Amino acid sequence: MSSASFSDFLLHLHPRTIPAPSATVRFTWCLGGLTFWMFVIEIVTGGLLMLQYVPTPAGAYHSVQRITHVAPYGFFVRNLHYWCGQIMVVLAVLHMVRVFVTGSYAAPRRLNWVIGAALLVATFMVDFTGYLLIWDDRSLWAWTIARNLAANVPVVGAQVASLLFGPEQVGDEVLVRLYAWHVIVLPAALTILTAWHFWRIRKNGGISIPL
Amino acid sequence: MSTRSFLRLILLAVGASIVAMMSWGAARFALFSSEVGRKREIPEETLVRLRGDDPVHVPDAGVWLAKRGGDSEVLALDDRCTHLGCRYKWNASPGQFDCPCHGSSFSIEGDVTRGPASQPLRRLSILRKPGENARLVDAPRR
Repeated sequence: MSSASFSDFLLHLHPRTIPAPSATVRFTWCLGGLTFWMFVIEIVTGGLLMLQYVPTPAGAYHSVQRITHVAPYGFFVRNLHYWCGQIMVVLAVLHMVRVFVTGSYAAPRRLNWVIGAALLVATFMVDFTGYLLIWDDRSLWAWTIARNLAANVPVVGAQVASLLFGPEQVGDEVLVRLYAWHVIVLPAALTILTAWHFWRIRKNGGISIPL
Repeated sequence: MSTRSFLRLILLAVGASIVAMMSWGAARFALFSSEVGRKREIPEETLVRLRGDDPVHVPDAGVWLAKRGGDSEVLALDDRCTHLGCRYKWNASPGQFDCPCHGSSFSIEGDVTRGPASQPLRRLSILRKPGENARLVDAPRR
C-alpha cells in the first residue's frame, strides 16, 4: 500500500493495492462494509420518508399509516428503511464479535476499537429514536420508560432526560426533539465517526490482518 | 461486436433499467400528496335531492350526507370510522351506520351506539354559495 493512499482522498477510499490477506472474505465476512451499506440505504430511504412524515404527536402515526398504506411504493420505502435499520444493528454487532475473535482490536488498532464502540452506541440510539417516531402505543411507552430511566441518572438526571427526550409532558416539542436526533444529530455523528473509522483502518495498515 | 462489449452493453442496459425503475418508484413516492389539500365539494343537487332518514354517500368528497325526518338541516359526516379509519356504511333496517372492520355502530347523527369506537363521527360544515358546488370544511368540535 503506497503512501498516496494516506494523502489522496480517492486512493484512500479505494487504494490501488491492498495486502492480499485483507481481501479474504472468510476472514472479515465483509461485515463492516455491509454495515456501512445498510447506513447508505438508511440515508436514501430516510430522505424519502422525510418528505411524507409529520413529526407531531397528532400527525406522526397517521402519516406513517399514510406512508405504509396510501402513498405509492410507500410500503416498500418504509420496509426497506425498517429492515435495513434492524440488519444494520445485527451486522454491527457481528462485526464487533469478528473483530474481537480475530484479535483485531489490539494495538495499534485500539483507538479504532473505541471509535467502533461509539459507532455501535450511535447505531443503537438512531434505531431507538426511529422506533419512537412511529408514535403508536409502543413508542409512547418506550419513550416514557426511557425518559424515566434517563431521569434516574444521579445529579444531572432531569437535564439528561429533557435533553434526550424532550419535556416531560407530551407535546409537539417531544417529537421534534426525537426527530432532530434521528435525522440530523445521530446521522451526522455516524457519518463523521464512520469516516474516521475507515481512515484509521488505512492508517493502521489495512483491514484486520496481523501486523 | 466482441463478446466482452456485448456483455458490457447487456449489463449497462440491465443496470440502467434497475436505476430507472427505482427512480420511478422514488419519484412517485416523493410526489405523493396526501388528502390534506383535497377539495371536498358536493354538487348542490345532491343536497336538494336528499331525503330524510336516507343518508347518501359521496365517496369523492369522503362524506355521508344525512337528514333527520322532519328536519331541514343537512348533516355532513366524515366517512371514516373514528376507531381505525375504515369507511363505514349505512344500514337501513336498524337505521344506523355500521363499520365493517371492527363492528362499531353510529346513530344517524354520528354518535357512538356500539364500540370499539369511542369518538363520535367527525362532523363537517357545509358552505353553500348560489351557483357553486357546496364545500365541506371541518366543523368546530362539538
